[in-house]
Amino acid sequence: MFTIDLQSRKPISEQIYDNLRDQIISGVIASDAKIPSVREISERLSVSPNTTMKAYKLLEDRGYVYSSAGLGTFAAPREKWLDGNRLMTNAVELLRRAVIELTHGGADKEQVIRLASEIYEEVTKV
Amino acid sequence: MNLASSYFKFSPALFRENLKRFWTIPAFGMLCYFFAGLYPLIVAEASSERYYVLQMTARFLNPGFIIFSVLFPIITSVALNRYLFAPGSVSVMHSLPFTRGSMFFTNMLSGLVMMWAPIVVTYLISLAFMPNAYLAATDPNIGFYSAIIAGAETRISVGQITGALGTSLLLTAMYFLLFNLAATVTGNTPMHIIGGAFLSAVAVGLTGLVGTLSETMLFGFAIDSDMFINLLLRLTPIVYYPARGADAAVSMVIQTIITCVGLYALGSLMYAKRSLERAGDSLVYKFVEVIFVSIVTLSGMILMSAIISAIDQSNFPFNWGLIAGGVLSYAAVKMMAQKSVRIFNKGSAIHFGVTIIAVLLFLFSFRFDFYGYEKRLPNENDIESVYFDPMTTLRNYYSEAEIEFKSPDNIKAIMNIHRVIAEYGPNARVNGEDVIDYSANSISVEYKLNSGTVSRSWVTYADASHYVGDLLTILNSREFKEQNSVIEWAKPGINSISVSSGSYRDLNLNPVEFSEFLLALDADMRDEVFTADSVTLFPGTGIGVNLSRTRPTGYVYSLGRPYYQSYRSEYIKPTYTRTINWLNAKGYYENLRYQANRITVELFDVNSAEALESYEITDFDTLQNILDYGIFGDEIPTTGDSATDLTPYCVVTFYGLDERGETVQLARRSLSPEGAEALLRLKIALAGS
Amino acid sequence: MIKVSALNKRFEHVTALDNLSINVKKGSIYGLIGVNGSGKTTALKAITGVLRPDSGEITMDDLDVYENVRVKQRIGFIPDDLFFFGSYNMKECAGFYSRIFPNWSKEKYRTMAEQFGLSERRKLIRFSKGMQKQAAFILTMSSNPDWLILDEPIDGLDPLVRKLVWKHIVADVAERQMTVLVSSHNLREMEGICDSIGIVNSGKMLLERDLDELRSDIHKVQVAFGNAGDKLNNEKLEGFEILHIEEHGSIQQMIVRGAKEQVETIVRSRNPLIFDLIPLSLEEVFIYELGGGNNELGKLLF
Repeated sequence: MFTIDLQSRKPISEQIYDNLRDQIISGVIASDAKIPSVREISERLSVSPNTTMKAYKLLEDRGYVYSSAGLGTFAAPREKWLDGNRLMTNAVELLRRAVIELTHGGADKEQVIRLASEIYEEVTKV
Repeated sequence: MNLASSYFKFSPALFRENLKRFWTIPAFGMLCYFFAGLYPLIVAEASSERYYVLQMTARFLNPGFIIFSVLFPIITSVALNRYLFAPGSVSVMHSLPFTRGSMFFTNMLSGLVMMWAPIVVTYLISLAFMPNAYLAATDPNIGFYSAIIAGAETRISVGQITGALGTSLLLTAMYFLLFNLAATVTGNTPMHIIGGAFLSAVAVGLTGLVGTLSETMLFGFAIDSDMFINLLLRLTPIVYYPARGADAAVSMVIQTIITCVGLYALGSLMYAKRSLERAGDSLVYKFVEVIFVSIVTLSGMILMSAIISAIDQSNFPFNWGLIAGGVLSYAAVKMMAQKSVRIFNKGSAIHFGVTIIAVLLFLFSFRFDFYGYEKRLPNENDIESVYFDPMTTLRNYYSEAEIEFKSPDNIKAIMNIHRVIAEYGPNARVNGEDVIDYSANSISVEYKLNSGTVSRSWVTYADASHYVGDLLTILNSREFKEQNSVIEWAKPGINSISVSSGSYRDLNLNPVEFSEFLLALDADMRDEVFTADSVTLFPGTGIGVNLSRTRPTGYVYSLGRPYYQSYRSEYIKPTYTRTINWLNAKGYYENLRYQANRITVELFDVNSAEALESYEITDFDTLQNILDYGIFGDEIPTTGDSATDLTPYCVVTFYGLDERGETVQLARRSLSPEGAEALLRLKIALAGS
Repeated sequence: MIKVSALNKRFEHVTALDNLSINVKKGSIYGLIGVNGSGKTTALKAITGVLRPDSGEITMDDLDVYENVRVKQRIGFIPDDLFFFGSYNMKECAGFYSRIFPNWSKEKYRTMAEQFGLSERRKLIRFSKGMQKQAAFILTMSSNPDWLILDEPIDGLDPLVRKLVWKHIVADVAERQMTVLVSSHNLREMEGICDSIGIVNSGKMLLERDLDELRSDIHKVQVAFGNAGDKLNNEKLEGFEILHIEEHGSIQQMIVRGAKEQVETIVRSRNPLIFDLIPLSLEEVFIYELGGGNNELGKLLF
């Protein structure tokens, strides 16, 4: 579970949003998995449910979650993410830079691919 | 929200909690009533003792009951209203889902239930005891304890017990509601209690105050104790029940109930308007503070001026005590009301000034008779009869003036006399000082009207010479002669007859002689024709008659006498020939007759103790003439306080010989100016012949 | 929701409330912040129907509060000055409350009493002040109020108990959309839990805002231009309000209110030589929101 930083000038709802979004994007919360209720988050963080609900609304607006009446709120699959494409583009850009770094460091194509494979295995295992 | 739901809504939850948390009150009450009433009853050994307790209880004269009827309402009211006096409790209680009206109503009901339960239980138990006891017959001729001793057996009625029960319930309810009202306008418990006591006393106190002021300052006003008590009782149930107990008239019960309803309504209103944030302040409403401070200041002023006037004989109430009392009591009560010593500001000064002015106006209204009381005569058409004793204008001593005039001529004459006395007024005082001497007369009159009673009682310097004509009309009227008859007066039962003069005191007549003597005296009095001289000069023989009789009181005092004595005295005039002859024949006259050998006459100025002029008469014939003519004024006492307290106009001293042949003073008598003039005329005439 | 409009209240010569207005949205946790004597307690007492204001309106869900039993049955109030019936223990109080609050829940009461570990049989006046507060809290929450009003609730509670208290409040808000109005003199303690705050001083409302908005809207900007003519000055540009400007040489230090992206875009469009967007602590935010001159107040609140 994450914590919020009261000292930060970042609005609390934004912090909650960011944290949950990261967890969804990184797959910590799998697609279609249930995310904690507004109540649970509010209680755990000692924040007003209003604030939590703002975060959830934003998540819903941006397509990261969807709610099913009576059942709860769930993480949405990648396709639904509104800035899913931009993320992809950013990720690809990051990959390019990483590959540049690796080749400058002396890695060749097979090494890079092997590395990528290992990392993939590692990340999807969670 | 209509009236009903707002003011009379009942909350069972709150009611239940009140009873739960204050259960000690009815428990303790039960204990107290038991020890006050039932316990003495149970342990009383003698039946008379038991009876005494029962009597007191059944008539609500049991002091225990009376105390508790006042104490428990106060305790209950304090307990139920305490939450109003602290910010914490006030906030919590008023944030709960009740309206103020329902809280007030529910608290009131809770209190009544808690106080009435012990009373009702006690009386139910006593119903088992009481009817098996003795009650003296209510025949006024039978003494209280005699009846018990005689074994009279009558039950105490359930009606009497119920009456006493009802009185208890009404009295406790009234005090409770009164103290609840006080709670709604005060802000802490001490002020709550003071406020309640104040409210209970206001009616009584103001009545007493007005009565005292009227008596002191209105000419012709006299508090006769009956009248005063009756007025008080009519005014306030709070005085009534302790005084009259279970003998409550229906009207009084109704008045009490109306008072209770009024107290509740006022309390509920005050509570609804109360600013809760003033919990802890002495008085919650500004106007209550104004009234409270004003009344206390008024009382303080009067009290202080009364004290000062008693100390240095100054005028009541217009002396420096008035202002001193005003300043002191105003300061004290204002400090108490505002809970601070810092009362010296513009507002206080204005209030003080207004209060003083108002009080002075109030006092002046009496002093200068704004009400026209002194000059007011009743409407002639309204008068049914008038009680008036014309003989008091002639300074005869006579208790119980019960001569009742109905004839229109007499009534008119009386009213004329009234007018004269009122005109003469209280202002003709000798030297501006209030010295009562033998020139002042105590006269009273009581008019019975269709609409009630109007009475006056004067101490006046206007004597018979001011209203001779009217007085003669009355004295010579048949109605008067009949009412004044000694035989009628003696009918209930003559106790004693004595005759006295300057030379011999209190010769008691033999009871067998009573009827003869009375017949003679009565006939003489009926034949008497009053003249102008006879009412201003007091011709007499120097011989007086004192009669006493017994009369029943008319109601049974529980421990008092059912009869009382009354007295009458008459002067024997020179025209009472039958009486004088009788006294002569029986040998009394000899002893009574003045055997004077010298008379001195002194004329005084009112300002000095030294005689301005004095004459001595030793000539035997002149002496006898004077004695026969009967110019005798009032006896001047030679002993006692009033001996030195005199400023008479003219003093006549009689000297004679005693058994040993020595010259002694027989009598000193004072004459009015007219009498002195007549005496001197006589002397001169005799001297000339 | 709770709506207070134009409340005025005078005591003798003191104005306690001066045209005060408060708006609390449904399901919100609102913090009424002010120093002692600022009028918070008076406001709360007026809102719960204890005091009658000289003028103004107080409604909950558009229903008048004063002398309204139906509404008061749904209000839960814990004042700073606690009061219990003299000899009562918590169980007896619970009995009384259960009879006057129609939404009372016996299970909730039992659960909470156990959680807080308070003895039901002990006389409440024998409890310490902190425990009394806990008892009051249990009793009030068990009546399931729709509007919860608390005056300095966490004064005197230790951190563990505090957490428990907030947990329960948050749970009820999340579950039943209970509306909460809390008063405090310490903003720092409230800022986590409240989603809106109102700052009162001398009976007046100085500032009423959504806390999140407050955090995000104000920035410190440090900017310098090559051309003196390009300097920014006190004009209100769209979506961007300059609250305060200080100049040190050619560097302008500004406090601005506006959305972050907008500020960045607008300033960059002026081609500054130096441009820094610096985070502001919440204290600094407040000081500027309160008008700069209220530095003292800001210090007191933290």
